[in-house]
Amino acid sequence: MRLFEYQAKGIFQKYCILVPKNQVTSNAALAEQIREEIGDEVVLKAQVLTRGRAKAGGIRLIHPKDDIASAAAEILDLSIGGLKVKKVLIEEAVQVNKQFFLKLEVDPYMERPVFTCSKFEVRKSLTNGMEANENRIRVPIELSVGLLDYQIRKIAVTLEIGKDMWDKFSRILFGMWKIFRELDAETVEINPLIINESAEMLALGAIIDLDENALFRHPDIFEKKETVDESQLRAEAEKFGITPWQYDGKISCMIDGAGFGFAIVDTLHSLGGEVGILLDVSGGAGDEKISAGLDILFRDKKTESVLIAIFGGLTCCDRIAHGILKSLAKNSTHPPLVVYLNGTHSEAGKTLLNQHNLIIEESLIAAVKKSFEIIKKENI
Amino acid sequence: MSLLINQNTKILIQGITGDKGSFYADQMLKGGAQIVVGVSPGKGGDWVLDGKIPVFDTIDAAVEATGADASIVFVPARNAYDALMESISAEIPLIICITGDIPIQDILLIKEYTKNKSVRIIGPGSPGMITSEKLSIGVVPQNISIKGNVGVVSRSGPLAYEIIFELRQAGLGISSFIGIGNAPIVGSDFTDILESFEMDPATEKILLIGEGGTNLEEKVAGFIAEHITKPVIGYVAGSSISPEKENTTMRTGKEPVARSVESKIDAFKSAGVRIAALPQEIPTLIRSI
Repeated sequence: MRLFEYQAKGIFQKYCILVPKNQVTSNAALAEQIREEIGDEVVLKAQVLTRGRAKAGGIRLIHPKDDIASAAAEILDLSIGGLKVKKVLIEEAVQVNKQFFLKLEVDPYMERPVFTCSKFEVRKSLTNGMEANENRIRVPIELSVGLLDYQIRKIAVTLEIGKDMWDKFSRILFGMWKIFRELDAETVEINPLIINESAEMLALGAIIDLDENALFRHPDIFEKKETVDESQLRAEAEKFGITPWQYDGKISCMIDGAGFGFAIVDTLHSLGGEVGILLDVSGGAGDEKISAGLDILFRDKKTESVLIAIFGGLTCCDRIAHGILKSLAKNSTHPPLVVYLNGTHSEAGKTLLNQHNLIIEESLIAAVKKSFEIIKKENI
Repeated sequence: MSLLINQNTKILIQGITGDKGSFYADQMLKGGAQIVVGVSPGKGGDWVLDGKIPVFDTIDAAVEATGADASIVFVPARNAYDALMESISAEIPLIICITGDIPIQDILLIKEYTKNKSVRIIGPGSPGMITSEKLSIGVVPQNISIKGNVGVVSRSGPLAYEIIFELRQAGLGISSFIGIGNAPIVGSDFTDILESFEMDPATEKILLIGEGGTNLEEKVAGFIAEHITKPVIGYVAGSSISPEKENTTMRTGKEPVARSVESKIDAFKSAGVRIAALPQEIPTLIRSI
């Protein structure tokens, strides 16, 4: 779960990592007032979780005489990468003397958290690209030991950070480490970290990804979780613990396990068919989850054929059957439904469904073919 | 001869009084596995599964009473770190963690702790395994395979069940199946399992089933090229999806699934793995080598 930049910067401050003075708002009319508190020259940054903010006009330098309110309003009107900008960060523009890239994340090959750090050439302006030079270092950390002083010195020397700055640099790296550990982060990144003309180290860019599996340890963060401007499909599905994918086809599927689902997509594709919505109900689905998922597929306007394919292991097929019946009772009209059940309690599941008018197939390939034939017939 | 586990293995169930623990312990017992004891903190002294299986509060007491030499973990994710550390500290030789969605830093700490112990961990998020005697362990459904010479390893369960079932329909059997789990970092990865298959006399061909996300497949490719002499067949689900159609990267900070599928197939191909484009091609491909 990626945090917004303003949230990440708020956390940085709590962990004694300096950031430029800033404030976030969703109201362009307040921008002028915020500028008065922050400084004459500020940067506006769209708060949206996608790449290419600068290119899309989501990051703007505001000079003292510029009309900040209308600039903020323009940014708040933007959609970047399909996501609506809901908030804008107003941040003090800072003088950059030196800049660095610092990232802490779990390296799956080393099976360790690793600091990746490099030094950048100074950028001339905000919009210019930047280039990393040769001063790059990767330092793996043993989780149970933690970050050690000598590791920080190694990084500082590689990045050619003067000895007078080592204390400040050390506080930043320890801050990143503490965030990583205490908040169960997957990534803590400062890009760039800068040294300004008064020899302060500031985090200009901030990224924190939290481990969704660890949110039970951080109920406070979970409560503050901001709903991203997601598709309605995702919002609806995730309420029931279902993982959705959406593609262009007319055959929508409910499956158990992403691997199993994508194998069905491959098979469908080889026949000439394309998947529409793919819902993954894995993890021991109960009838509530199944019926909620089916409701989504039945009500989708683009879907012309629905396939449920479950090879029960952790998911029991009799529960699946109950879920199917529940949804059928609610949706009197729906696209044709093809069912493939195998594995744990599949006979009991099929017996439950047999009394109803459904297409039950005994093999996966037959089920996939059947749901594809339905589409072909509908389109003749 | 069996890989990792067989019908003489004395199995302990961690979390045996929970819904899943009791359901699958019962299923395994009926299937012929030797479930001897359960651990559920606070429930020590109870007897479960029709009064056949004693429950203990601690692993040490359970192992002492029964000589259990494998543990299957069904506890909720929030208790998994503690449960695994307990069975690792007791040095139970084989620990199969069915529980998935464990915080990644917990997994790292568990792996660090395991380094100097003679313990093998499968999972987290493992569906379990099928032994050479066709015992289904974990949440793997019963009676989906016949005996044969193909060693099957996959990350998650359902796709592997389907493929193993299709092999059976085609008259092809398996030597063993092991589900290594779906987490980005797991106790035993593809490399560990392939090493075991290479040494296993019952295994003549190896089927490796991959899927999008993580880089467990890329990690094993180089190892296959250098160390595996038995033929390896691979299938990675999701190759028909183009990466442009995915837009989930920034929200989670992770690579799109489809892009990772391409990279996995490339890695396999350069390691000499024979790739099936579809699950239905696997039986023919296995026969052809």
